[in-house]
Amino acid sequence: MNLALYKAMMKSHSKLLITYSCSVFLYLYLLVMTFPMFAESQQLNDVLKGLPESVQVAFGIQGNLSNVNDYMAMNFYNSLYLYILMAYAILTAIQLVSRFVDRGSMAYLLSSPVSRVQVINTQAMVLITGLFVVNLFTYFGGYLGVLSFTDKNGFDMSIFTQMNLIVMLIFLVISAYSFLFSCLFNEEKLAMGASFGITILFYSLDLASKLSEEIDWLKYFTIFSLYQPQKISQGDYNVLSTSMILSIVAIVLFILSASLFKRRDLTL
Amino acid sequence: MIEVNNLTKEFSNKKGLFDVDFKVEKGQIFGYLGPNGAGKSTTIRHLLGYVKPQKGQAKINGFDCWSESEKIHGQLGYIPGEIAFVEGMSAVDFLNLMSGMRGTKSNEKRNELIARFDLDIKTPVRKMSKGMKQKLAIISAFMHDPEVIILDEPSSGLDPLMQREFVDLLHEEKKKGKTILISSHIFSELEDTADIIAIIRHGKLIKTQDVHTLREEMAKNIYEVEFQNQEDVHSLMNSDLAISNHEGNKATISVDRDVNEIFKYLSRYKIKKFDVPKQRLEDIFMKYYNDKEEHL
Ligand SMILES: Nc1ncnc2c1ncn2[C@@H]1O[C@H](COP(=O)(O)OP(=O)(O)OP(=O)(O)O)[C@@H](O)[C@H]1O
Ligand SMILES: [Mg+2]
Repeated sequence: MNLALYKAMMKSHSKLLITYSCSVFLYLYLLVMTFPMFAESQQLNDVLKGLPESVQVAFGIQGNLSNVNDYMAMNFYNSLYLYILMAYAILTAIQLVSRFVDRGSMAYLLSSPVSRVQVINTQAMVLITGLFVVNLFTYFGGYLGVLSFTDKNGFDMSIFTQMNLIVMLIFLVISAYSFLFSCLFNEEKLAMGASFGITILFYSLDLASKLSEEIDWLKYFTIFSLYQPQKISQGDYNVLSTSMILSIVAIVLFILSASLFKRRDLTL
Repeated sequence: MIEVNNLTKEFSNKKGLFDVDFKVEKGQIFGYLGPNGAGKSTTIRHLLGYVKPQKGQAKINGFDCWSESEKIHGQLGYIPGEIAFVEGMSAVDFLNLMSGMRGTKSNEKRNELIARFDLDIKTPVRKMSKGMKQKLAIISAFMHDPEVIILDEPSSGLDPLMQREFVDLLHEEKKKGKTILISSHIFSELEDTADIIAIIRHGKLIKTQDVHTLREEMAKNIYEVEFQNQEDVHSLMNSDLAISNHEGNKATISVDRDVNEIFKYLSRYKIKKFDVPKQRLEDIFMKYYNDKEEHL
Protein backbone atom coordinates (compact mmCIF):
# COMPACT_ATOMS: atom_id res chain seq x y z
CA MET A 1 0.00 0.00 0.00
CA ASN A 2 1.39 3.37 -1.06
CA LEU A 3 -0.21 6.51 0.32
CA ALA A 4 0.70 8.87 -2.53
CA LEU A 5 -0.78 6.48 -5.07
CA TYR A 6 -3.86 5.89 -2.94
CA LYS A 7 -4.57 9.60 -2.63
CA ALA A 8 -4.07 10.23 -6.35
CA MET A 9 -6.28 7.29 -7.27
CA MET A 10 -9.02 8.31 -4.85
CA LYS A 11 -8.90 11.81 -6.26
CA SER A 12 -9.26 10.73 -9.87
CA HIS A 13 -11.90 8.17 -8.89
CA SER A 14 -13.85 10.60 -6.75
CA LYS A 15 -16.14 11.95 -9.44
CA LEU A 16 -17.47 8.51 -10.30
CA LEU A 17 -17.71 7.54 -6.66
CA ILE A 18 -19.65 10.65 -5.72
CA THR A 19 -22.05 10.12 -8.64
CA TYR A 20 -22.78 6.55 -7.60
CA SER A 21 -23.03 7.35 -3.91
CA CYS A 22 -25.39 10.29 -4.34
CA SER A 23 -27.55 8.35 -6.77
CA VAL A 24 -28.06 5.37 -4.48
CA PHE A 25 -28.56 7.63 -1.49
CA LEU A 26 -31.22 9.72 -3.16
CA TYR A 27 -32.92 6.79 -4.82
CA LEU A 28 -33.36 4.81 -1.64
CA TYR A 29 -34.28 7.88 0.39
CA LEU A 30 -37.00 8.84 -2.08
CA LEU A 31 -38.12 5.24 -2.39
CA VAL A 32 -38.84 5.13 1.32
CA MET A 33 -40.88 8.27 0.87
CA THR A 34 -43.35 6.27 -1.24
CA PHE A 35 -43.58 3.53 1.39
CA PRO A 36 -46.55 4.88 3.41
CA MET A 37 -48.58 5.03 0.20
CA PHE A 38 -47.99 1.39 -0.67
CA ALA A 39 -48.21 0.15 2.87
CA GLU A 40 -51.79 1.33 2.99
CA SER A 41 -52.69 -0.03 -0.42
CA GLN A 42 -54.04 -3.51 0.27
CA GLN A 43 -54.84 -3.84 -3.41
CA LEU A 44 -51.22 -3.93 -4.56
CA ASN A 45 -50.33 -6.40 -1.88
CA ASP A 46 -53.10 -8.64 -3.09
CA VAL A 47 -51.88 -8.42 -6.68
CA LEU A 48 -48.38 -9.43 -5.62
CA LYS A 49 -49.67 -12.26 -3.49
CA GLY A 50 -51.63 -13.46 -6.50
CA LEU A 51 -48.44 -14.12 -8.48
CA PRO A 52 -47.19 -17.76 -8.65
CA GLU A 53 -45.06 -18.72 -5.68
CA SER A 54 -41.96 -19.47 -7.76
CA VAL A 55 -42.09 -16.06 -9.46
CA GLN A 56 -42.38 -14.42 -6.08
CA VAL A 57 -39.34 -16.30 -4.86
CA ALA A 58 -37.30 -15.65 -7.98
CA PHE A 59 -37.82 -11.91 -7.91
CA GLY A 60 -37.70 -11.61 -4.15
CA ILE A 61 -41.18 -10.23 -3.79
CA GLN A 62 -42.69 -12.73 -1.43
CA GLY A 63 -42.30 -10.29 1.42
CA ASN A 64 -44.82 -8.02 2.95
CA LEU A 65 -45.13 -4.58 1.45
CA SER A 66 -46.43 -3.20 4.70
CA ASN A 67 -43.07 -3.76 6.39
CA VAL A 68 -40.46 -1.13 5.53
CA ASN A 69 -37.55 -3.59 5.69
CA ASP A 70 -39.24 -5.85 3.17
CA TYR A 71 -40.28 -2.89 1.13
CA MET A 72 -36.69 -1.74 0.68
CA ALA A 73 -35.44 -5.27 0.07
CA MET A 74 -38.02 -5.92 -2.64
CA ASN A 75 -37.93 -2.60 -4.40
CA PHE A 76 -34.26 -1.77 -4.23
CA TYR A 77 -31.89 -4.32 -2.73
CA ASN A 78 -33.31 -7.16 -4.76
CA SER A 79 -33.43 -5.32 -8.05
CA LEU A 80 -31.90 -2.03 -9.08
CA TYR A 81 -29.24 -2.02 -6.37
CA LEU A 82 -27.82 -5.34 -7.55
CA TYR A 83 -27.37 -3.96 -11.06
CA ILE A 84 -25.89 -0.70 -9.81
CA LEU A 85 -23.38 -2.53 -7.66
CA MET A 86 -22.53 -4.98 -10.44
CA ALA A 87 -21.74 -2.08 -12.75
CA TYR A 88 -19.80 -0.18 -10.10
CA ALA A 89 -17.77 -3.12 -8.81
CA ILE A 90 -16.79 -4.45 -12.22
CA LEU A 91 -16.10 -1.14 -13.95
CA THR A 92 -14.00 0.09 -11.05
CA ALA A 93 -12.04 -3.15 -10.76
CA ILE A 94 -11.25 -3.05 -14.47
CA GLN A 95 -10.34 0.63 -14.42
CA LEU A 96 -7.91 0.25 -11.57
CA VAL A 97 -5.53 -2.24 -13.19
CA SER A 98 -6.44 -3.51 -16.63
CA ARG A 99 -7.04 -0.07 -18.10
CA PHE A 100 -3.63 1.10 -16.89
CA VAL A 101 -1.97 -1.91 -18.45
CA ASP A 102 -3.95 -1.65 -21.67
CA ARG A 103 -3.29 2.07 -22.13
CA GLY A 104 0.30 1.86 -20.96
CA SER A 105 0.15 4.22 -17.99
CA MET A 106 1.03 1.31 -15.69
CA ALA A 107 4.56 1.83 -17.04
CA TYR A 108 4.78 5.02 -15.00
CA LEU A 109 3.46 3.51 -11.79
CA LEU A 110 5.88 0.59 -12.07
CA SER A 111 8.88 2.73 -12.95
CA SER A 112 8.80 4.08 -9.39
CA PRO A 113 10.34 2.29 -6.40
CA VAL A 114 6.87 1.12 -5.35
CA SER A 115 6.77 -2.62 -6.01
CA ARG A 116 4.21 -4.35 -8.17
CA VAL A 117 2.58 -5.97 -5.17
CA GLN A 118 2.31 -2.62 -3.40
CA VAL A 119 0.79 -0.99 -6.48
CA ILE A 120 -1.79 -3.77 -6.77
CA ASN A 121 -2.61 -3.70 -3.08
CA THR A 122 -3.11 0.04 -3.24
CA GLN A 123 -5.45 -0.31 -6.20
CA ALA A 124 -7.35 -3.01 -4.31
CA MET A 125 -7.68 -0.66 -1.35
CA VAL A 126 -9.15 2.00 -3.65
CA LEU A 127 -11.69 -0.54 -4.89
CA ILE A 128 -12.60 -1.65 -1.37
CA THR A 129 -12.90 1.94 -0.18
CA GLY A 130 -15.18 2.80 -3.08
CA LEU A 131 -17.42 -0.18 -2.49
CA PHE A 132 -17.63 0.63 1.19
CA VAL A 133 -18.55 4.25 0.54
CA VAL A 134 -21.32 3.36 -1.92
CA ASN A 135 -22.78 0.88 0.56
CA LEU A 136 -22.52 3.36 3.38
CA PHE A 137 -24.46 5.96 1.40
CA THR A 138 -27.15 3.40 0.64
CA TYR A 139 -27.34 2.47 4.29
CA PHE A 140 -27.75 6.08 5.38
CA GLY A 141 -30.17 6.79 2.54
CA GLY A 142 -32.43 4.02 3.73
CA TYR A 143 -32.05 4.86 7.38
CA LEU A 144 -32.69 8.57 6.92
CA GLY A 145 -35.66 7.74 4.73
CA VAL A 146 -37.12 5.60 7.48
CA LEU A 147 -36.54 8.36 10.03
CA SER A 148 -38.12 11.00 7.81
CA PHE A 149 -41.10 9.25 6.28
CA THR A 150 -42.25 6.36 8.45
CA ASP A 151 -43.40 5.90 11.99
CA LYS A 152 -40.35 3.60 12.57
CA ASN A 153 -42.44 1.02 14.36
CA GLY A 154 -42.04 -1.70 11.77
CA PHE A 155 -38.36 -0.91 11.14
CA ASP A 156 -35.72 -3.31 12.42
CA MET A 157 -32.34 -1.59 12.47
CA SER A 158 -30.34 -4.72 13.17
CA ILE A 159 -31.84 -6.63 10.25
CA PHE A 160 -31.33 -3.64 7.99
CA THR A 161 -27.66 -3.50 9.04
CA GLN A 162 -27.16 -7.21 8.47
CA MET A 163 -28.73 -7.00 5.04
CA ASN A 164 -26.42 -4.15 4.06
CA LEU A 165 -23.41 -5.99 5.39
CA ILE A 166 -24.15 -9.16 3.44
CA VAL A 167 -24.78 -7.21 0.23
CA MET A 168 -21.50 -5.39 0.65
CA LEU A 169 -19.54 -8.57 1.26
CA ILE A 170 -21.11 -10.37 -1.69
CA PHE A 171 -20.07 -7.49 -3.88
CA LEU A 172 -16.66 -7.47 -2.29
CA VAL A 173 -16.21 -10.98 -3.65
CA ILE A 174 -17.54 -9.92 -7.05
CA SER A 175 -15.11 -6.98 -7.01
CA ALA A 176 -12.33 -9.33 -6.02
CA TYR A 177 -12.72 -11.77 -8.88
CA SER A 178 -13.17 -8.88 -11.33
CA PHE A 179 -9.98 -7.43 -9.91
CA LEU A 180 -8.26 -10.76 -10.46
CA PHE A 181 -9.28 -10.71 -14.13
CA SER A 182 -8.17 -7.11 -14.27
CA CYS A 183 -4.72 -8.16 -13.06
CA LEU A 184 -4.49 -11.11 -15.43
CA PHE A 185 -5.54 -9.77 -18.81
CA ASN A 186 -3.64 -7.37 -21.04
CA GLU A 187 -6.77 -6.06 -22.62
CA GLU A 188 -9.36 -4.05 -20.81
CA LYS A 189 -12.14 -5.47 -22.99
CA LEU A 190 -11.20 -9.03 -22.20
CA ALA A 191 -11.08 -8.41 -18.46
CA MET A 192 -14.41 -6.62 -18.57
CA GLY A 193 -16.00 -9.37 -20.67
CA ALA A 194 -14.82 -12.08 -18.28
CA SER A 195 -16.05 -10.20 -15.21
CA PHE A 196 -19.48 -9.33 -16.59
CA GLY A 197 -19.81 -12.77 -18.17
CA ILE A 198 -19.26 -14.64 -14.93
CA THR A 199 -21.39 -12.26 -12.89
CA ILE A 200 -24.33 -12.48 -15.26
CA LEU A 201 -23.92 -16.25 -15.35
CA PHE A 202 -24.08 -16.35 -11.54
CA TYR A 203 -27.14 -14.16 -11.59
CA SER A 204 -28.93 -16.31 -14.17
CA LEU A 205 -28.09 -19.50 -12.27
CA ASP A 206 -29.62 -17.97 -9.18
CA LEU A 207 -32.80 -17.00 -11.01
CA ALA A 208 -33.05 -20.44 -12.64
CA SER A 209 -32.51 -22.29 -9.38
CA LYS A 210 -35.35 -20.36 -7.80
CA LEU A 211 -37.77 -20.73 -10.68
CA SER A 212 -37.72 -24.52 -10.80
CA GLU A 213 -37.52 -27.02 -7.96
CA GLU A 214 -35.76 -29.62 -10.15
CA ILE A 215 -32.72 -27.47 -10.80
CA ASP A 216 -32.50 -25.81 -7.44
CA TRP A 217 -29.11 -27.51 -6.92
CA LEU A 218 -27.77 -24.76 -9.22
CA LYS A 219 -27.78 -22.54 -6.16
CA TYR A 220 -24.55 -24.16 -5.05
CA PHE A 221 -22.81 -22.69 -8.07
CA THR A 222 -23.70 -19.06 -7.66
CA ILE A 223 -22.75 -16.43 -5.16
CA PHE A 224 -26.15 -14.73 -5.47
CA SER A 225 -27.87 -17.57 -3.66
CA LEU A 226 -26.27 -16.14 -0.53
CA TYR A 227 -28.22 -12.99 -0.97
CA GLN A 228 -31.55 -13.64 0.79
CA PRO A 229 -32.98 -10.57 2.46
CA GLN A 230 -36.10 -12.57 3.38
CA LYS A 231 -34.15 -15.10 5.36
CA ILE A 232 -32.17 -12.36 7.02
CA SER A 233 -35.35 -10.62 8.07
CA GLN A 234 -36.78 -13.88 9.40
CA GLY A 235 -33.61 -14.41 11.40
CA ASP A 236 -32.73 -17.83 9.96
CA TYR A 237 -29.65 -16.66 8.10
CA ASN A 238 -26.24 -17.25 9.58
CA VAL A 239 -24.92 -13.74 9.12
CA LEU A 240 -21.71 -14.20 11.07
CA SER A 241 -20.35 -17.29 9.37
CA THR A 242 -21.46 -16.17 5.92
CA SER A 243 -19.71 -12.83 6.41
CA MET A 244 -16.56 -14.57 7.52
CA ILE A 245 -16.55 -16.91 4.53
CA LEU A 246 -17.19 -14.06 2.08
CA SER A 247 -14.43 -11.96 3.62
CA ILE A 248 -11.95 -14.80 3.48
CA VAL A 249 -12.77 -15.58 -0.16
CA ALA A 250 -12.34 -11.90 -1.05
CA ILE A 251 -9.01 -11.67 0.76
CA VAL A 252 -7.71 -14.81 -0.93
CA LEU A 253 -8.73 -13.45 -4.33
CA PHE A 254 -6.99 -10.13 -3.67
CA ILE A 255 -3.81 -11.85 -2.53
CA LEU A 256 -3.93 -14.10 -5.58
CA SER A 257 -4.35 -11.05 -7.83
CA ALA A 258 -1.22 -9.41 -6.47
CA SER A 259 0.90 -12.51 -6.59
CA LEU A 260 -0.10 -13.40 -10.15
CA PHE A 261 0.40 -9.82 -11.27
CA LYS A 262 3.89 -9.87 -9.80
CA ARG A 263 4.92 -12.82 -11.96
CA ARG A 264 3.47 -11.54 -15.19
CA ASP A 265 5.21 -10.23 -18.29
CA LEU A 266 3.84 -6.78 -18.98
CA THR A 267 3.97 -5.30 -22.46
CA LEU A 268 4.11 -1.67 -21.46
CA MET B 1 25.93 1.11 -14.61
CA ILE B 2 23.78 -0.94 -16.95
CA GLU B 3 24.76 -4.47 -17.86
CA VAL B 4 22.95 -6.70 -20.29
CA ASN B 5 24.27 -10.25 -20.57
CA ASN B 6 23.10 -12.71 -23.22
CA LEU B 7 19.60 -11.38 -22.94
CA THR B 8 17.21 -13.59 -24.87
CA LYS B 9 13.46 -13.41 -25.21
CA GLU B 10 11.65 -15.13 -28.02
CA PHE B 11 8.00 -14.29 -28.61
CA SER B 12 5.58 -16.78 -30.12
CA ASN B 13 5.97 -15.08 -33.50
CA LYS B 14 9.74 -15.81 -33.53
CA LYS B 15 10.53 -12.16 -32.92
CA GLY B 16 12.22 -10.87 -29.83
CA LEU B 17 15.78 -10.56 -28.55
CA PHE B 18 18.63 -12.94 -29.11
CA ASP B 19 21.80 -12.95 -27.03
CA VAL B 20 21.95 -9.23 -26.61
CA ASP B 21 25.06 -8.14 -24.77
CA PHE B 22 26.18 -4.65 -23.82
CA LYS B 23 27.35 -2.47 -21.01
CA VAL B 24 26.88 1.20 -20.21
CA GLU B 25 29.32 2.75 -17.76
CA LYS B 26 28.79 5.68 -15.45
CA GLY B 27 29.23 8.98 -17.28
CA GLN B 28 28.49 7.40 -20.59
CA ILE B 29 25.67 7.95 -23.06
CA PHE B 30 24.75 4.79 -24.87
CA GLY B 31 22.86 5.19 -28.14
CA TYR B 32 20.66 2.25 -28.97
CA LEU B 33 19.92 2.43 -32.64
CA GLY B 34 17.73 0.23 -34.77
CA PRO B 35 14.90 0.27 -37.26
CA ASN B 36 11.26 -0.09 -36.24
CA GLY B 37 10.52 -3.41 -34.60
CA ALA B 38 14.20 -4.21 -34.01
CA GLY B 39 13.81 -4.88 -30.31
CA LYS B 40 14.86 -1.63 -28.66
CA SER B 41 11.74 -1.25 -26.55
CA THR B 42 11.80 -4.94 -25.70
CA THR B 43 15.32 -4.55 -24.30
CA ILE B 44 14.22 -1.51 -22.33
CA ARG B 45 11.21 -3.40 -20.91
CA HIS B 46 13.69 -5.89 -19.53
CA LEU B 47 15.72 -3.09 -17.97
CA LEU B 48 12.58 -1.74 -16.28
CA GLY B 49 11.64 -5.20 -15.03
CA TYR B 50 8.37 -5.36 -16.96
CA VAL B 51 9.27 -8.67 -18.56
CA LYS B 52 11.26 -11.63 -17.39
CA PRO B 53 14.22 -12.72 -19.50
CA GLN B 54 14.05 -16.17 -21.01
CA LYS B 55 17.79 -16.45 -20.84
CA GLY B 56 20.51 -14.13 -19.66
CA GLN B 57 20.20 -11.19 -17.34
CA ALA B 58 19.84 -7.44 -17.22
CA LYS B 59 21.42 -5.61 -14.29
CA ILE B 60 21.46 -2.01 -13.17
CA ASN B 61 23.92 -0.90 -10.51
CA GLY B 62 24.47 -4.55 -9.70
CA PHE B 63 20.82 -5.37 -9.05
CA ASP B 64 18.82 -7.79 -11.15
CA CYS B 65 16.25 -5.89 -13.20
CA TRP B 66 13.54 -8.53 -12.83
CA SER B 67 13.79 -9.65 -9.23
CA GLU B 68 15.20 -6.54 -7.56
CA SER B 69 13.54 -3.78 -9.55
CA GLU B 70 12.37 -1.84 -6.47
CA LYS B 71 15.99 -1.38 -5.44
CA ILE B 72 16.80 0.10 -8.83
CA HIS B 73 13.81 2.32 -9.43
CA GLY B 74 14.57 4.90 -6.75
CA GLN B 75 17.58 5.93 -8.82
CA LEU B 76 16.01 5.51 -12.23
CA GLY B 77 14.54 8.00 -14.66
CA TYR B 78 12.52 6.62 -17.53
CA ILE B 79 10.71 7.90 -20.59
CA PRO B 80 8.55 5.18 -22.17
CA GLY B 81 8.44 4.70 -25.94
CA GLU B 82 4.73 5.27 -25.97
CA ILE B 83 3.94 7.81 -23.34
CA ALA B 84 0.63 7.26 -21.56
CA PHE B 85 0.07 9.33 -18.46
CA VAL B 86 -2.46 8.38 -15.82
CA GLU B 87 -5.79 9.54 -17.14
CA GLY B 88 -7.80 12.41 -15.78
CA MET B 89 -4.91 14.20 -14.10
CA SER B 90 -3.32 17.58 -14.57
CA ALA B 91 0.42 17.74 -15.16
CA VAL B 92 1.06 18.94 -11.63
CA ASP B 93 -1.01 16.12 -10.14
CA PHE B 94 0.96 13.66 -12.19
CA LEU B 95 4.30 15.09 -11.08
CA ASN B 96 3.12 15.08 -7.47
CA LEU B 97 2.13 11.45 -7.82
CA MET B 98 5.53 10.49 -9.18
CA SER B 99 7.35 12.47 -6.49
CA GLY B 100 5.15 10.88 -3.86
CA MET B 101 5.74 7.36 -5.10
CA ARG B 102 9.47 8.00 -5.29
CA GLY B 103 9.55 9.72 -1.93
CA THR B 104 11.28 12.75 -3.43
CA LYS B 105 11.65 15.48 -0.82
CA SER B 106 12.83 18.49 -2.76
CA ASN B 107 11.02 20.15 -5.63
CA GLU B 108 14.01 22.25 -6.59
CA LYS B 109 15.14 20.38 -9.68
CA ARG B 110 11.56 19.87 -10.77
CA ASN B 111 10.80 23.60 -10.73
CA GLU B 112 14.04 24.30 -12.52
CA LEU B 113 13.11 21.85 -15.28
CA ILE B 114 9.58 23.21 -15.58
CA ALA B 115 11.00 26.69 -16.12
CA ARG B 116 13.67 25.43 -18.49
CA PHE B 117 11.26 23.54 -20.73
CA ASP B 118 8.61 26.21 -20.33
CA LEU B 119 5.71 23.90 -19.51
CA ASP B 120 2.36 25.06 -18.22
CA ILE B 121 1.73 22.45 -15.56
CA LYS B 122 -1.83 23.49 -14.79
CA THR B 123 -3.00 22.01 -18.09
CA PRO B 124 -4.87 18.73 -17.89
CA VAL B 125 -2.77 16.05 -19.56
CA ARG B 126 -5.65 15.25 -21.87
CA LYS B 127 -5.45 18.70 -23.42
CA MET B 128 -1.69 18.72 -23.96
CA SER B 129 -0.04 18.74 -27.36
CA LYS B 130 2.42 16.00 -28.26
CA GLY B 131 5.38 18.25 -27.51
CA MET B 132 3.97 19.29 -24.15
CA LYS B 133 3.49 15.65 -23.18
CA GLN B 134 7.04 14.96 -24.21
CA LYS B 135 8.26 17.81 -22.00
CA LEU B 136 6.23 16.49 -19.10
CA ALA B 137 7.77 13.07 -19.63
CA ILE B 138 11.25 14.61 -19.63
CA ILE B 139 10.58 16.53 -16.42
CA SER B 140 9.23 13.45 -14.70
CA ALA B 141 12.27 11.42 -15.78
CA PHE B 142 14.85 13.92 -14.54
CA MET B 143 13.22 15.70 -11.60
CA HIS B 144 14.43 13.30 -8.90
CA ASP B 145 18.02 13.53 -10.12
CA PRO B 146 18.36 9.82 -10.89
CA GLU B 147 21.68 8.04 -11.40
CA VAL B 148 20.49 5.94 -14.29
CA ILE B 149 18.40 7.38 -17.11
CA ILE B 150 16.66 5.27 -19.74
CA LEU B 151 14.99 7.07 -22.61
CA ASP B 152 12.99 5.31 -25.28
CA GLU B 153 12.87 7.64 -28.29
CA PRO B 154 12.71 10.75 -26.16
CA SER B 155 12.85 13.68 -28.52
CA SER B 156 10.08 12.95 -30.99
CA GLY B 157 7.63 15.83 -30.93
CA LEU B 158 10.05 18.45 -29.57
CA ASP B 159 10.69 21.54 -31.65
CA PRO B 160 14.34 22.24 -32.62
CA LEU B 161 14.77 24.77 -29.81
CA MET B 162 13.60 22.35 -27.16
CA GLN B 163 15.54 19.55 -28.79
CA ARG B 164 18.65 21.68 -28.32
CA GLU B 165 17.73 22.26 -24.69
CA PHE B 166 17.24 18.55 -24.23
CA VAL B 167 20.64 17.70 -25.75
CA ASP B 168 22.23 20.24 -23.41
CA LEU B 169 20.47 18.64 -20.47
CA LEU B 170 21.81 15.23 -21.46
CA HIS B 171 25.35 16.56 -21.62
CA GLU B 172 25.02 18.15 -18.19
CA GLU B 173 23.72 14.91 -16.71
CA LYS B 174 26.51 12.98 -18.35
CA LYS B 175 29.08 15.32 -16.80
CA LYS B 176 27.56 14.58 -13.41
CA GLY B 177 28.39 10.93 -13.97
CA LYS B 178 24.97 9.61 -14.83
CA THR B 179 24.50 6.42 -16.80
CA ILE B 180 22.32 7.16 -19.80
CA LEU B 181 20.73 4.93 -22.43
CA ILE B 182 18.84 6.48 -25.34
CA SER B 183 17.08 4.51 -28.02
CA SER B 184 16.21 5.84 -31.41
CA HIS B 185 15.55 4.71 -34.93
CA ILE B 186 17.15 7.76 -36.44
CA PHE B 187 20.83 8.39 -36.20
CA SER B 188 20.66 12.17 -36.02
CA GLU B 189 18.88 11.94 -32.68
CA LEU B 190 21.96 10.27 -31.21
CA GLU B 191 24.67 12.04 -33.18
CA ASP B 192 25.12 14.94 -30.78
CA THR B 193 24.87 12.92 -27.61
CA ALA B 194 25.96 9.29 -27.75
CA ASP B 195 29.44 8.08 -26.83
CA ILE B 196 28.76 4.57 -27.98
CA ILE B 197 26.27 3.50 -30.56
CA ALA B 198 24.98 -0.06 -30.75
CA ILE B 199 22.90 -1.13 -33.67
CA ILE B 200 20.21 -3.74 -33.26
CA ARG B 201 18.32 -5.48 -36.03
CA HIS B 202 15.86 -8.32 -35.79
CA GLY B 203 16.65 -8.71 -32.11
CA LYS B 204 20.41 -9.08 -32.56
CA LEU B 205 23.15 -6.56 -31.90
CA ILE B 206 25.03 -6.22 -35.14
CA LYS B 207 27.54 -3.51 -34.31
CA THR B 208 28.78 -1.62 -31.30
CA GLN B 209 30.83 1.39 -32.19
CA ASP B 210 32.65 3.99 -30.15
CA VAL B 211 31.59 7.28 -31.70
CA HIS B 212 34.73 9.16 -30.64
CA THR B 213 37.21 6.84 -32.36
CA LEU B 214 34.95 6.82 -35.34
CA ARG B 215 35.05 10.58 -35.48
CA GLU B 216 38.83 10.58 -35.18
CA GLU B 217 39.13 8.12 -38.00
CA MET B 218 36.90 10.21 -40.11
CA ALA B 219 38.85 13.32 -39.32
CA LYS B 220 41.70 11.82 -41.33
CA ASN B 221 40.32 13.41 -44.39
CA ILE B 222 40.82 13.06 -48.08
CA TYR B 223 40.99 15.72 -50.76
CA GLU B 224 39.48 15.35 -54.17
CA VAL B 225 41.38 17.39 -56.71
CA GLU B 226 40.48 18.00 -60.33
CA PHE B 227 43.37 19.25 -62.48
CA GLN B 228 43.29 21.33 -65.66
CA ASN B 229 45.67 18.94 -67.37
CA GLN B 230 45.55 15.20 -67.18
CA GLU B 231 49.38 14.94 -67.28
CA ASP B 232 49.54 16.58 -63.90
CA VAL B 233 47.84 13.58 -62.40
CA HIS B 234 50.65 11.38 -63.74
CA SER B 235 53.35 13.59 -62.37
CA LEU B 236 51.49 13.59 -59.05
CA MET B 237 51.59 9.81 -59.12
CA ASN B 238 55.35 9.96 -59.25
CA SER B 239 55.52 12.17 -56.19
CA ASP B 240 55.45 10.66 -52.71
CA LEU B 241 51.95 11.93 -51.96
CA ALA B 242 49.50 9.21 -51.05
CA ILE B 243 47.15 8.95 -53.97
CA SER B 244 44.35 6.61 -53.04
CA ASN B 245 42.48 6.86 -56.28
CA HIS B 246 42.68 8.51 -59.69
CA GLU B 247 40.59 8.74 -62.80
CA GLY B 248 41.05 11.00 -65.83
CA ASN B 249 42.11 14.40 -64.51
CA LYS B 250 40.87 13.67 -60.98
CA ALA B 251 42.88 12.35 -58.06
CA THR B 252 42.04 11.52 -54.47
CA ILE B 253 44.78 12.41 -52.02
CA SER B 254 44.87 11.05 -48.48
CA VAL B 255 45.82 13.61 -45.90
CA ASP B 256 48.65 11.69 -44.26
CA ARG B 257 50.97 14.56 -43.38
CA ASP B 258 51.10 18.25 -42.65
CA VAL B 259 48.51 19.98 -44.77
CA ASN B 260 50.97 22.69 -45.81
CA GLU B 261 53.26 20.17 -47.45
CA ILE B 262 50.45 18.89 -49.57
CA PHE B 263 49.42 22.37 -50.58
CA LYS B 264 52.99 23.35 -51.38
CA TYR B 265 53.16 20.45 -53.76
CA LEU B 266 49.75 21.06 -55.29
CA SER B 267 50.48 24.72 -55.88
CA ARG B 268 52.69 23.79 -58.82
CA TYR B 269 49.69 22.76 -60.83
CA LYS B 270 46.68 24.42 -62.28
CA ILE B 271 43.72 23.21 -60.29
CA LYS B 272 40.18 23.24 -61.63
CA LYS B 273 38.31 22.07 -58.59
CA PHE B 274 39.15 21.22 -54.99
CA ASP B 275 36.85 19.36 -52.62
CA VAL B 276 36.97 17.94 -49.10
CA PRO B 277 34.29 15.29 -49.21
CA LYS B 278 32.55 15.08 -45.86
CA GLN B 279 31.85 11.57 -44.83
CA ARG B 280 28.86 11.71 -42.57
CA LEU B 281 28.51 9.46 -39.56
CA GLU B 282 24.97 8.84 -40.60
CA ASP B 283 26.11 7.29 -43.89
CA ILE B 284 28.32 4.85 -42.05
CA PHE B 285 25.44 3.70 -39.91
CA MET B 286 23.06 3.68 -42.80
CA LYS B 287 25.37 1.13 -44.34
CA TYR B 288 24.71 -1.27 -41.46
CA TYR B 289 20.99 -0.84 -41.80
CA ASN B 290 21.22 -1.74 -45.48
CA ASP B 291 24.18 -4.15 -45.56
CA LYS B 292 22.51 -6.62 -43.32
CA GLU B 293 19.36 -6.48 -45.32
CA GLU B 294 21.21 -8.10 -48.20
CA HIS B 295 22.59 -10.87 -46.04
CA LEU B 296 19.19 -11.91 -44.81
N1 LIG C 1 4.60 -9.27 -26.27
C1 LIG C 1 4.95 -9.47 -27.55
N2 LIG C 1 4.48 -10.53 -28.22
C2 LIG C 1 4.83 -10.75 -29.49
N3 LIG C 1 5.67 -9.96 -30.18
C3 LIG C 1 6.18 -8.90 -29.58
C4 LIG C 1 5.84 -8.58 -28.23
N4 LIG C 1 6.51 -7.47 -27.88
C5 LIG C 1 7.20 -7.09 -28.97
N5 LIG C 1 7.02 -7.95 -30.00
C6 LIG C 1 7.67 -7.87 -31.32
O1 LIG C 1 9.04 -7.78 -31.14
C7 LIG C 1 9.61 -6.88 -32.10
C8 LIG C 1 10.42 -5.81 -31.37
O2 LIG C 1 9.55 -4.85 -30.83
P1 LIG C 1 10.07 -3.55 -30.10
O3 LIG C 1 8.89 -2.83 -29.57
O4 LIG C 1 11.14 -3.91 -29.15
O5 LIG C 1 10.69 -2.72 -31.31
P2 LIG C 1 11.44 -1.32 -31.30
O6 LIG C 1 12.85 -1.59 -31.67
O7 LIG C 1 11.20 -0.61 -30.04
O8 LIG C 1 10.74 -0.56 -32.50
P3 LIG C 1 10.25 0.96 -32.64
O9 LIG C 1 11.39 1.74 -33.19
O10 LIG C 1 9.16 0.86 -33.64
O11 LIG C 1 9.78 1.42 -31.32
C9 LIG C 1 8.45 -6.35 -32.90
O12 LIG C 1 8.41 -7.06 -34.11
C10 LIG C 1 7.25 -6.64 -32.08
O13 LIG C 1 6.15 -6.90 -32.89
MG1 LIG D 1 10.09 1.09 -29.44
